[in-house]
Amino acid sequence: MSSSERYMPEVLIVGGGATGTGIARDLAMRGVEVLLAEAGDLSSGASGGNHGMLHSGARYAVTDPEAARECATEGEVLKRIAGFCIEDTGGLFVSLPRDDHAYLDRFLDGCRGSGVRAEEISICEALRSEPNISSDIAAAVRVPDASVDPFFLVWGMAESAREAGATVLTHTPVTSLHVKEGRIARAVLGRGERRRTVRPEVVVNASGAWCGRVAAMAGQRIDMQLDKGSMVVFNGRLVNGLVNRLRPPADGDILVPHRSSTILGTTSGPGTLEDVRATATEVEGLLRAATEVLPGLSTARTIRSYAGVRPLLNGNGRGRQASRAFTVIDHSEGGVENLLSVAGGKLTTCRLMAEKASDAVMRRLGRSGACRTMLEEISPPVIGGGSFQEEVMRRKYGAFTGTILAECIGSPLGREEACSCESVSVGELEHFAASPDVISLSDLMRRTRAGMGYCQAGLCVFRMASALDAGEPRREIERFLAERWKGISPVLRGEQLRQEAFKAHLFKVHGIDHTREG
Amino acid sequence: MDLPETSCDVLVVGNGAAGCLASTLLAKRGYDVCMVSRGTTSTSLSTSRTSLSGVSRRKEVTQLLRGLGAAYGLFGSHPGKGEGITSLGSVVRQDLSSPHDWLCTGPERTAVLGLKGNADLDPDLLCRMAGRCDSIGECRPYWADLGLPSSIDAGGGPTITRESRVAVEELAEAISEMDEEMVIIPPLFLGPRHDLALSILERSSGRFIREAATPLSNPGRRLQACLERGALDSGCRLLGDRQVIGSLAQGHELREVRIMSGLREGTIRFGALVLATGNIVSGGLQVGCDGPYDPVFGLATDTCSTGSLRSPALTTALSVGIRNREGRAVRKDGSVMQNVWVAGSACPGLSYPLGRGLGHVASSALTIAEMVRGYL
Amino acid sequence: MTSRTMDGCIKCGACVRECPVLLQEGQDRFPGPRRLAVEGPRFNEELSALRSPLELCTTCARCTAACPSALPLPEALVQVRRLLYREKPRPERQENMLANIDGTLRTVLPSGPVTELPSTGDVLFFPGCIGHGRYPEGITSSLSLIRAVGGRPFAPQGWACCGSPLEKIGDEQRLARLEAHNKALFRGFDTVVTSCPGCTVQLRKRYGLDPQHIIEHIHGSGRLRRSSFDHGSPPIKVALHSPCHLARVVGPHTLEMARDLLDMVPGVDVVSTGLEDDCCGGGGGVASARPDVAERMAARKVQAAVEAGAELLLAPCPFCVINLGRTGLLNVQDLTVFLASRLLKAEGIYSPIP
Repeated sequence: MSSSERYMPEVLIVGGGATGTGIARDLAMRGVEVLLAEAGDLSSGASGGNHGMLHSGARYAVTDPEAARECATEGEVLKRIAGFCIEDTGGLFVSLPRDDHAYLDRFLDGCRGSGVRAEEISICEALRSEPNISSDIAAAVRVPDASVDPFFLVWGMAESAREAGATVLTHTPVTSLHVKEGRIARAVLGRGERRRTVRPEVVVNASGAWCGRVAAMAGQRIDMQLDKGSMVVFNGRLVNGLVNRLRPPADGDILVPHRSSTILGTTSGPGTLEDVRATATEVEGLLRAATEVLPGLSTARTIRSYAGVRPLLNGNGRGRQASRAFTVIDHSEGGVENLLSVAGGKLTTCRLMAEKASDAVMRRLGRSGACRTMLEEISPPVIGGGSFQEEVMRRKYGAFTGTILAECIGSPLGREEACSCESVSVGELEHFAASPDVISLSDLMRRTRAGMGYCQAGLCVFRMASALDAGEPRREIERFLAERWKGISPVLRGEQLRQEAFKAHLFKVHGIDHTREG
Repeated sequence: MDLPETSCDVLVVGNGAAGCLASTLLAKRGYDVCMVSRGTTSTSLSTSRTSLSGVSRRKEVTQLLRGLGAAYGLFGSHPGKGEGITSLGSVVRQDLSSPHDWLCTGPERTAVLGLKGNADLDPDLLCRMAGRCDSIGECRPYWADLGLPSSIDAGGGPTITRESRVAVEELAEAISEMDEEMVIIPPLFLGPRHDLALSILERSSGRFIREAATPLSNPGRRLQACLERGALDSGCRLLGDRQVIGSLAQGHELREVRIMSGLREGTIRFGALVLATGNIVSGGLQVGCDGPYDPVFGLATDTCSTGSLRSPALTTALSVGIRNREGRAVRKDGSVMQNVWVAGSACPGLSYPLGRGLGHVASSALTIAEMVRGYL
Repeated sequence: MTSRTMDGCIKCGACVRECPVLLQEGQDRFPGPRRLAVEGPRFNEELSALRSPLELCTTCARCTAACPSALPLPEALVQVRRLLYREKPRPERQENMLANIDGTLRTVLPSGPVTELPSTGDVLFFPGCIGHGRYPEGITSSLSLIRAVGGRPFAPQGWACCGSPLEKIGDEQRLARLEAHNKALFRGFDTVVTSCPGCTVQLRKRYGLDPQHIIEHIHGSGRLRRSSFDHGSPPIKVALHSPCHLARVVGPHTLEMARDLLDMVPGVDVVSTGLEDDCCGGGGGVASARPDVAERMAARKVQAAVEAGAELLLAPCPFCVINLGRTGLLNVQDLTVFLASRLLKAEGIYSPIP
């Protein structure tokens, strides 16, 4: 049997980010045969390159009421169905004396108008809940923001889609879409031995920043605007909940406590698909802006920087002014009747986007079936019990922990700690390394968080490479470390500089030089 | 309560490789040398690679290291295995070479023996990494669960300790089942007779035995212990666990430093001061947001080019020097401190992560010792 | 909160290699200072799983000495204990100690006759609970030594525990109560002599006093010399234990002073065991929370002293003496007891308490 006959999906979804996996889950739950093809790894685009904020909608209350309303309802839905990867920390919007005071009223009005539960609190109360923020603040509003781990959200949705019968293929790029008589007749996926052809009824283009490129394969044009956002990660939790600046959205005004770190975001500027990284200038700008709200930040230890590209639709305003609302583009007007593109939107609204897109797909298929993603949980919040290691695992893998833990216990070195920053055991690495989704060290890191801690894989990379059995371990290690280094070099200062010098030494002993650039 | 005042001809701050070597050279010349250290020596980072390539005064350096290492079986000549320090700088057996180096220089077939519970060597990974390298012969991983601790003191007496003899026997038994000519093991043995323990292991197993050194592992500690002994034997005093917290200058000379010993403070007066406080990793140069700085002596951080780092970001961050051409310390205002020298390969152009290592440290100690003698 | 001060960790692993408890008990039971003080606290909510390993830290500070960033790891670890202090049940011995403090303001109830302390004099002496309740000969000898160097020791009536054990286990409330009590007694004094290093450190850190350990006091006086000691005593081989809180917190000079003093005593041969610097295992609340671990660690040290040929193990700390003595493998004595017993009584500088 040739590989072209192995998959006969009704729907091909292109892109394994929050949107794509969301649609796969939704359609599979409605009983549709779906195949998801992702060119790289799950959440390797903007889904993994954001600051992990589950919006209450407050940030868009003034500028984009529609997005705010969607966030307000969808945020609550996600907290319910995917609680395992969400920390419901709550958030604060604080303004400084020099900020425009009139904005507070507009903000509160906007929140009321879009159903965002916002409550102005006293300065005293704000400082009690966030003792590290500047005592100069002029106003504070509490909102139900939360922090979400996008890697685990997307992974959880993909697993949930698989359980419902979907096929999810990572590292399988769509190489061509063949249009015949006004519809996509076949799509070619993968390269070399893994090359295969499928003939889906409907193709859903959910490739985020690559939407334009995928549509172009079918001769369609989507006017995309790529907007780069850079972020900085700090060691430890510097804030208890999210802290936002109460002013019209600008650079460096969001701080998100995220597992064992704090993420500061973000910038906004034109970006490209290649070489997405934060620059030292952007990092400096972010630090300068955020230090006004969190004075201790100037001496806090940075871990790394990273960037993501927001796929925005042109015509909806530029950069920060662009609407965060999403659009499902029906390409029948452009002459391809079975192609739908999903563009724009936010991580917080990924389930809703999936629902709308899936409705459109169902109409196109001429089938009926109601959306059930709101009713069925991916995994609820899981807390308590067991050793330190087990507890950390539960907070990552939620309801999936049981299987992984069983494997850890079964393997001889399974309980041994591989990554001590993030408390990842060898068993976890082995479990995920065995998955066909995981072919590189970066994939393994996204699944387990190994190497995401403050030593940035200084100690665990060899253990990771051991578990992965990659083709050329030294090359793979170098590639992975070089990728980390891209994020580290713009923030190279203070203790992180010492750490990097130490790491460079450790790796030189093994004949690895990852700091070489270009 | 203040501690009684101490005075000496030369005060050396830091008892790592640079401090110990400078102390040894000066104490041998009859100066009253006092070495203070904060306690951290075990990072042994500059010593985890021993290369003499590009080292100035190589002959003298070789002689110095051989002399000091003799008592510890370090850097010695080994019959049939070539000279102790080769032109490449790798030192036979007691060398602090990486496992990868051994695979590159060893015979065609090599076994790598990992011990359960010992994190210094992962044979599977090493073999897989080496297996892809064309210059390397065949190598095979083995695992043994012998329940050995990660360090075993081989002692300093005429024979090795009972504990290490047991370990040698167990290792020999595990090794005897292998076919390869050379076996790479994790570094296990400490103390002056670590050498003898390895020799016995070679004899009883009939294989060449090599240790895979990693930073912070036993070879670094062994070397540290050896260099410290050398300094003490040449008559230097060592005040351990003391921290230097301040200094008193008279014009362009420093006359005394304040030190802290636990809850107490005290003063040390001296004629000349050698700073051997180490590299940025060992915390010798504290690092601030705008580059390394030195809060105690107020030393300058001049930019100087390093060249050997291929990362512009790291070069910018690390390329600072705090001494002038004569090795004298330069203050923030640009003035030169006449009786303060900076030893170690750390500056100019921090040793780290340039991998300059022990050879350069020794060469710097030789030069500094001469300068100090000239001054005194 | 803790993680902010721990930002200097570069994960070199030096603390993990140095930690004596980790070496003894293995990574499974005690994950080491880095995990407990640096990495663990980064995961705010997961702390409670750290509780049982946290009990095993003896606060010996070997980790701090080895750390290239000189991070105050034991302090950070004690801070985590404080956060978890409310969780129960607590080990039985710890509950007993707390009950004793509530009843008598001291950690132990005397198990036999105690040394009477004069209430007037010119050298303020703080006896400490362990010496007072468990090791009265240590107190007697300290008094003799203070007299031998020309002082008239006295202790404040109704003194309470210095609070060191409470700080180590994280009991803030009781600690504050004891400190308030003692501060009233110490009003008007700035120097005080103690025989227990734990007390020396505590009186310095929390009371703003300038305390001297008895070794510092008698050495610093400069009044003891070779002729002060009895030349007729039989020769003896001793091993010297270096108490963690004395050597690493009060200061390494104390051990040099101790060796100096031993050198003055005729017939004493100090043998090297190679494990002088290792922790006896009793400190940091381990002796009360996990006596089995404390005893295992002590046994290793005492065994090394026996193998080195020592007939007597000396420790300038009553707490270490008791923990090391528990093993019963070798005679263990406080250094002050040994020195006092070798003083030349005929010269009249030794006047034992009636």
